[in-house]
Amino acid sequence: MSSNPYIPFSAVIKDLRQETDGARPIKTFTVEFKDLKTWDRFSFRPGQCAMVGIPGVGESMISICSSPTQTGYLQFSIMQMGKVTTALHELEIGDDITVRGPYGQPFPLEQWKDKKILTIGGGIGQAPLRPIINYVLDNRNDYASLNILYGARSPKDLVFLHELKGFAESNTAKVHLTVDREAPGWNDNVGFVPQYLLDLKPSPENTIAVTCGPPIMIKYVLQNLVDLGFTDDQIYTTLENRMKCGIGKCGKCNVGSVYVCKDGPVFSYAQLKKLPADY
Amino acid sequence: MDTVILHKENLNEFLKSLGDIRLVAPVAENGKTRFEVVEDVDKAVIVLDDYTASPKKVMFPQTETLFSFKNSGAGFDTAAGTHPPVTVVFGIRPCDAKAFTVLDPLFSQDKEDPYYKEKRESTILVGNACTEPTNRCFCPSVGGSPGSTEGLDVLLTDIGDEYHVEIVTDKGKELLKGSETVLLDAPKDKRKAKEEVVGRSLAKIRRQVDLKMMHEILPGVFEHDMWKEMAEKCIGCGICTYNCPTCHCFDIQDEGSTATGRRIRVWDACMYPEFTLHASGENPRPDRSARLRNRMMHKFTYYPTNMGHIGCVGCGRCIELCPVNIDLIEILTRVREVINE
Repeated sequence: MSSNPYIPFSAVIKDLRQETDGARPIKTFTVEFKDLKTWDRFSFRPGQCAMVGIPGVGESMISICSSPTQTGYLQFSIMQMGKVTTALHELEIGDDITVRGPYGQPFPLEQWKDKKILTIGGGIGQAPLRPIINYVLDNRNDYASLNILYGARSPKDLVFLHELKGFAESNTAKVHLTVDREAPGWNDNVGFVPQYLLDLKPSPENTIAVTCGPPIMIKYVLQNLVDLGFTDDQIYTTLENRMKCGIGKCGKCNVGSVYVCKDGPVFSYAQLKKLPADY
Repeated sequence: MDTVILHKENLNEFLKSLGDIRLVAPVAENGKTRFEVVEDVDKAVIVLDDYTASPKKVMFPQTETLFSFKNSGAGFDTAAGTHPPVTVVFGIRPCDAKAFTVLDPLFSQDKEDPYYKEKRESTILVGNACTEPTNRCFCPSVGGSPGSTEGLDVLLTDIGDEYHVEIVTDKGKELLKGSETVLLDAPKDKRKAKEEVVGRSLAKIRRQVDLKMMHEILPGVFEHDMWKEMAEKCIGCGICTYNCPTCHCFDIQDEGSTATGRRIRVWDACMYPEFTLHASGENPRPDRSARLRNRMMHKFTYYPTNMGHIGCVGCGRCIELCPVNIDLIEILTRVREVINE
């Protein structure tokens, strides 16, 4: 079993948090491995993913949304979408799941030391950015500043809202929230994420910008970052594709000659530009 | 390389002399030839001149259990382990043997695939040189030959009343240890007889394709309308992938219930929309032209970039079996025309 990459680890759900409701609700799962020795074989970095599954139903590739600085557990924020995520949403605290991984290349947070970090998220796209935020906050002296720009359709579609507000109140990070349309009780910005980015006009100087969200949002954010003077090496994003094996063999997640599961999901804009427009 | 001679009338004796080993050979059943396990050499109809099937499934079965599971209440217990029996694949074509050498780096790189590896290690490939290439064969264009020993442990060549038997590897030598009574020393002129047979085969191969710099040329036509033209008649049936000896894409599915069942992998095809469909409805390869383009680019650009070898051995099955006559050679020829336009 030790060398078989298809066999998942057993884990148990320790906590569940309903992030959003509606037709496609999002829940954050906090899970622990059943066997503590699993941690010897599951060493991850922010940006990496794991196959979360239920034997008898299947597995889905989900980004790990906790930071390795948070030890002893993993967190996954999962939107109810298809067969597997629907089954996951039916589970309760104490139920078993499986975890396989970690997969992919992480954000190069070591290289980003002493830089200003700007995350730009939309909807559930905030989940892959969360480990960056948590990692930077846990190593606050290593980074010049942390700016979080995050938007969703409406206030009730924003994930991690309680903790983002906490960061803003304690002034540990600058948090810029936006929703697509006016909503009762909403006092923050109204407008799409790419436009709000232009309004905020962050300086590209010594800054790394990381974005994740719906494809259309990513497209305009990339464009606007370039317009703001960011170079291709200062911009990062994280892609998703349908995946099954997680180890670059099943052939589903390729974009050109790279596999999102093992060569991604993290790509700099410089890397992304070299890929065929097949994602 | 050792060379011996096997008289044709001794073929069954030879196969029996291989001992207590699982024998897989091309056998005729209901008018179709497929590689199947041969239980009784004398009863099986072994067909050595039918080129329809590849024995890819011996290493990479169409459906394969990854593990079985049981929810014991205290978590999931999983049981894997295949321990495949020692197997001889008899009668494999040189192109199909080469296909395994093409697949080897994929299954061994990074995280090794234990299912493929175990079967690969416990399988001995005894080839049969092509004497009657079909009208869709083009192996010389991709570096192959009807008499190539690449990837094989033993190669038989039909030189008339006898087989010229080349023992290529130590694995092959070990296999033939118990067959001494039917294997005769080969006079020197038999080598020439084999070369003549291969020469005649080569002369029969009509189709060819110029692959020079193809891996670099293809990305230049990525956006071209030629893919729409080429895919216009595609019905997305996926037969090109199912019969390709180097196609390796798969899906993973669960069978049973959450209480007990098995996780399996099954061949999948990049020609199906579901292959890349996201749960959100997003599809990075939404139409047949994008899928056909990806298949061609995977074989001739992406695979060589990652694995150092093109993902094609020139067997031509995709051409022969396509129900709407989509032709890989025509596509690659068109690529060159487009680049030169």
